[in-house]
Amino acid sequence: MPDALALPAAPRRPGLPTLVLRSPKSLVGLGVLVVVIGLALLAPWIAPYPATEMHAADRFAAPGRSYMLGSDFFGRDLFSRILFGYRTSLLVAGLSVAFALSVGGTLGVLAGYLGGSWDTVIMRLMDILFAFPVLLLAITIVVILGPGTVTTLLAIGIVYVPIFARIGRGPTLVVKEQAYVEAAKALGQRSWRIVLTHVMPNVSTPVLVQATINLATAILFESALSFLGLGTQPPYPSLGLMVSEGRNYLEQSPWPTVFPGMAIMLAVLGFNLVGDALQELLDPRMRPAWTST
Amino acid sequence: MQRYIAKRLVLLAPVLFVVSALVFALMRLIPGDPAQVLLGFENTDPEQLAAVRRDLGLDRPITVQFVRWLGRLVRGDLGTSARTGRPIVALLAEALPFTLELAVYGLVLAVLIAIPMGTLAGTTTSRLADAGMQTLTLLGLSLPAFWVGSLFILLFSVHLRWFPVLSFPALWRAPAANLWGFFLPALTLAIPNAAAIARMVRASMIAVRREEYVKVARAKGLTEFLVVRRHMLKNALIPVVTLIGIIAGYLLGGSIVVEQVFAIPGVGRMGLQAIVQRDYPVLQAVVLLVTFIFVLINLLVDLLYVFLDPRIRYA
Repeated sequence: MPDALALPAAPRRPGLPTLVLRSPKSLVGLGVLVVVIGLALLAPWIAPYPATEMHAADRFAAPGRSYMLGSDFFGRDLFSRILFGYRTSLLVAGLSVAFALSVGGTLGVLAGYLGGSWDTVIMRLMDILFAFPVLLLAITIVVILGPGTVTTLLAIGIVYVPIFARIGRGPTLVVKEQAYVEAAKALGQRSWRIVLTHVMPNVSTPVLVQATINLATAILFESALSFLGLGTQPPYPSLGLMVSEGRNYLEQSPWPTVFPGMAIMLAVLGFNLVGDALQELLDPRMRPAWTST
Repeated sequence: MQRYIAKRLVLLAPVLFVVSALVFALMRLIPGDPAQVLLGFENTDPEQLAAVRRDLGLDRPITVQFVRWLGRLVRGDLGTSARTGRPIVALLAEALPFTLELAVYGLVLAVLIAIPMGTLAGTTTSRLADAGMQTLTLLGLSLPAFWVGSLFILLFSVHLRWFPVLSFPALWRAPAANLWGFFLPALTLAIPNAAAIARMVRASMIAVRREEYVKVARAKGLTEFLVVRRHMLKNALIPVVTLIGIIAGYLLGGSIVVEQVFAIPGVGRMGLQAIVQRDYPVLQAVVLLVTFIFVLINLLVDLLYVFLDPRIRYA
């Protein structure tokens, strides 16, 4: 058949990965994250000292040759402790967001797709969780389960569930009304297959953006709980706990407070940069003023 | 609109009931026997323990306990502290002004920083200025409050001695000293929120920039300053007000950390001390109070939204 009816090829919109690699903001963010995640993964091999090893003679050592970032009250190497602290932070942040994403996302998609009383019951439950200030709810959960790393992870995960439920429900409501879903239903496809093949792909982008942003806040959250003494327990290194311990000796040496805080900021900034870039790339309305001139 | 407001107010009662029930249930999930806490852990006399349990009504079924507790709550009786024996209402009355002042002060500072910053970033035609402003706000969102607060104390209170440490006189007795003493904690609380608001102002300025009424205003020959101030900012601020409301709620939670860093005897610190001392009646009251305030602020924000934008109609 002649190509007379063929439409001119539409200019292909570059995919998300291409866009991400073109945005300077996301490149910087990704760079920061590669470093931070790399340090955490390689901690057991690159840390100069074990994280809990004390050197009584070297208390409050200034940053220098033997202790790159100095040492704390017990003469423990701050750099090594930060590396292992990153492991705790990233593990808790990653797993808590994964928990919230799978539980909340699934609940949201189910509420949106099934509708009716399912929707009402699920979303009212989410509203109740939303009625509590997040930090307060997380603290209450920690008090019930007892402080520790696993509890912190669960507490942050539970607090984030309603966020992902709302993000999952919105696009589902839109997709449900589309002709291709009607067609799939008419063809007798089962609900779970429709959800997996048609709904999930449409929900995944907003959920992914939200997850990136929540990874940033989860790191802050974990560090705040540790700072308050409700997260990871000593002597295990956690960045928030390090700041809290360092504060007691601020006048002797600022480094045990300064460096762990900086480390938290760096990791959070990495996720924030990537999340922000993703949001801008996916929402053309967010293009700044200088692009229109 | 009146019907909408009435409906929201009527719905408030069941929401507060569910929240109260949940707080009551959560507190019962905390491991440990409240009677044992009250008696002290060294005292293991079963008869005394049983007597305390009877006094507290802990020997009754949980539903009876809940109804009794709710009855007292409605009359404004939150019980007594398991540690000091003082009425919790009195303890909260002492602590709440500190927390409220910190939250309001923090919010005011955040708005004062955010609106000019966001407006500038949203209207500037300089790519560099926008990028700079965005970097600053992303950095603001990435700072752990407890760390910033600690560094503020080290720099401004310990080294430079500009600000007093642990000095929080009552606002009505020494207003100037109070505002000075609360400045660093309020600024610590304000930074991430200022960043969030500035980003919202920027985004919403960018969104209203293409609106017809902005073009008309320019065509009329108004100066850029008047276009921004009269036409863009006014419309752009509607979503911002919602965000400010949401933030006002979060400030209450965020103040837990800031109160701890600056040793401010507010509600958040009271709650944390209650956890350490296992004073669960106090913890329960703190969680309940803060959540109630949070729910009320959220309602207020929703209502404010309707007033601000007459285009919004609620069925």
